[in-house]
Amino acid sequence: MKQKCLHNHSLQEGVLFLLLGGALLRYGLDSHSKSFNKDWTQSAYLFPVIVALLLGALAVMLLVQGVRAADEKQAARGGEARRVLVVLGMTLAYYLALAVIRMPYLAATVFSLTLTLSTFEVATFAFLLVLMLYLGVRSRKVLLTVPLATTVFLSVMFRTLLRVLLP
Amino acid sequence: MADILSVLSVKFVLLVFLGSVAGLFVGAIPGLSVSMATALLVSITYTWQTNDALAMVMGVYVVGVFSGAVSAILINIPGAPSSVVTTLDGYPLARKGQAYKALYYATIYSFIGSVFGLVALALLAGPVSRLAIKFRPMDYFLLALFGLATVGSVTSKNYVKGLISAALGLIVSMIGLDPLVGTPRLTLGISQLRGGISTVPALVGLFGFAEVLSVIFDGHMSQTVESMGHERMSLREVLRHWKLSLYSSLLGTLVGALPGAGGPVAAFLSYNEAKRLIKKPEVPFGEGAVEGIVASESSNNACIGGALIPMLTLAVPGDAVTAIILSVFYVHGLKPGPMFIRESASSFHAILLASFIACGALLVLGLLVAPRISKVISVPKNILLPIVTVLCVVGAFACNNRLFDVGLMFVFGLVGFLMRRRGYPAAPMVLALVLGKTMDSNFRRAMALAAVADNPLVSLFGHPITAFLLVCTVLVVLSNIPFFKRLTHRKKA
Repeated sequence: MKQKCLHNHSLQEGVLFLLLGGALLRYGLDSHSKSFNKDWTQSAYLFPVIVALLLGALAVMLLVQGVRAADEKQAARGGEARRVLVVLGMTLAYYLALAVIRMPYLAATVFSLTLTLSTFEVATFAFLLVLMLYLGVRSRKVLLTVPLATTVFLSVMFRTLLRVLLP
Repeated sequence: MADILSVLSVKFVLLVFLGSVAGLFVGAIPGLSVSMATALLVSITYTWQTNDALAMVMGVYVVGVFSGAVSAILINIPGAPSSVVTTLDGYPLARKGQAYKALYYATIYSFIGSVFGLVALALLAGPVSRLAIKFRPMDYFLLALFGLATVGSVTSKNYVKGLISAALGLIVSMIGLDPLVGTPRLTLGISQLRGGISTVPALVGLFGFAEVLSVIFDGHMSQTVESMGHERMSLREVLRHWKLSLYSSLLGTLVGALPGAGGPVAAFLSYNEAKRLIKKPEVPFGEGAVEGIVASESSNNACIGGALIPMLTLAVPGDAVTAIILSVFYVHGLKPGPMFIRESASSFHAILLASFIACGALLVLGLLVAPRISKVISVPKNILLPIVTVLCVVGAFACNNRLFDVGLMFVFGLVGFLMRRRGYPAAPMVLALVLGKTMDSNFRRAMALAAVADNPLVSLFGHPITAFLLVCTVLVVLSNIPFFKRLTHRKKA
């Protein structure tokens, strides 16, 4: 029974949300007691306290559902969690590349369209290429043309035509 | 009429058409969604003139809702949640070699539904605005609460999970300076959070990046498309279901106007009504009955006009997409609410005009282009998903030009993905995120007014509109509690 309860999603989530509600309640009460305004009707922490109580009540209902369903089999929801983690790792690397690497900003104008080469273009091309390769694209033509066309399109479209800044 | 036409220009029409074309592809390609595209558009169009931005957004919205039917019919995967019901009869019809017929019906009746909903918007927005002037702070709070209670019940099999999703959205909406006295809340000492969580990165993450992660998790990277025949059909033959279409459109408009409910609910409701009303269809429902397509497509498109009524007159969005459109308004400094039609008449006319032009575009694109885009729909997802991820990054960054928002987008994407895996719907969270600050400020205003009143309880709930909204909210909550559900089922039996 104990083992079943540990693997019950509703119980796990119920505990998580109960903790979250408790933390929010404590934050609201503590912050209100430290604030200059002691009138609850005008307090900035009234709404957080109400939402915390609501979340706590909902978490208890989820726990009750979990206890009732403790003997039921959890639906098997297979999937490729490892692939998701790898993709998250790649997007994190892409994000860090955009945030950290500073490349010189090169621009060339072709038929009144300005083509730019900077961190965004290089990082995006590399990211698209690596992610497509990881997701199973094997055609060299596709691996080269899609990242290149997408990067050029986004660069010209956003920087030149829409005048939207890119990372 | 002259006011409406004053908005019209070649550029305006072109932008609507451009948005419509984008909507056709975005809605039809599984993995892309109207919500995601609208969220990306907020960041792209924020430097544009307001009417230009509205033209583009309405084009995407109107045609995007329809084009979910294209992939529903051709590959049995609804491009949008509101097209889920269309798969029930659209795909069986396509498998019989009548994909063109199914698309033809979907286009014609989506057009009728859209026009019906927009006419209702044009006629009802004024009266609803006049009623909304009488709203008190408590009424706004209760209306938003009613929306959250409803959306929690219709988007998830488990009502508690729907409400938890809404509560999480409320918590996120509280991050930043509080709306009345400017006290920083829940910022965790991070200076970038003092301005609050921007809606755009949150929406792009919850709808865009979460979808990418979900598809990768499921591992389905390709789909097969049914072949397209070109059988001839007379318009008179197709239009003989007009009565069912008008009834479904009426249901769609009403459901759309309810805060929180939306296209999927309207489509299911209309489909069930069609099954109840039409005892002997030519082909049984679920095996390719055109009546099923008529009901589903008329109602989900009629929701567009319906959902815009509370959004424009009360600033309470009817569904996730109108919640995002609401943020377009805020980005452009517009304030939807009771005075919107009077104070921002030009924007209201722009919305109406753009929507009607988009209906025309829907008809043209649906009849001429949709049958020919099967190759685009079948783009392998291992090519599509990396591009969508980059678009999410660009969209999140373009909103405030800071990489911090891109990080937020990734966080919300991961949260959205985990929520989907565990059966928590994203729609209540989005609505709560958009409505949270309004709820907070109006609730505190109502409490402050009650505190100085002779009878606080009467001050809070004594107003007829307040009492009505309170009863509606309580009924929605009670109707979702298992004990009361069992009680009503027993009475029916």
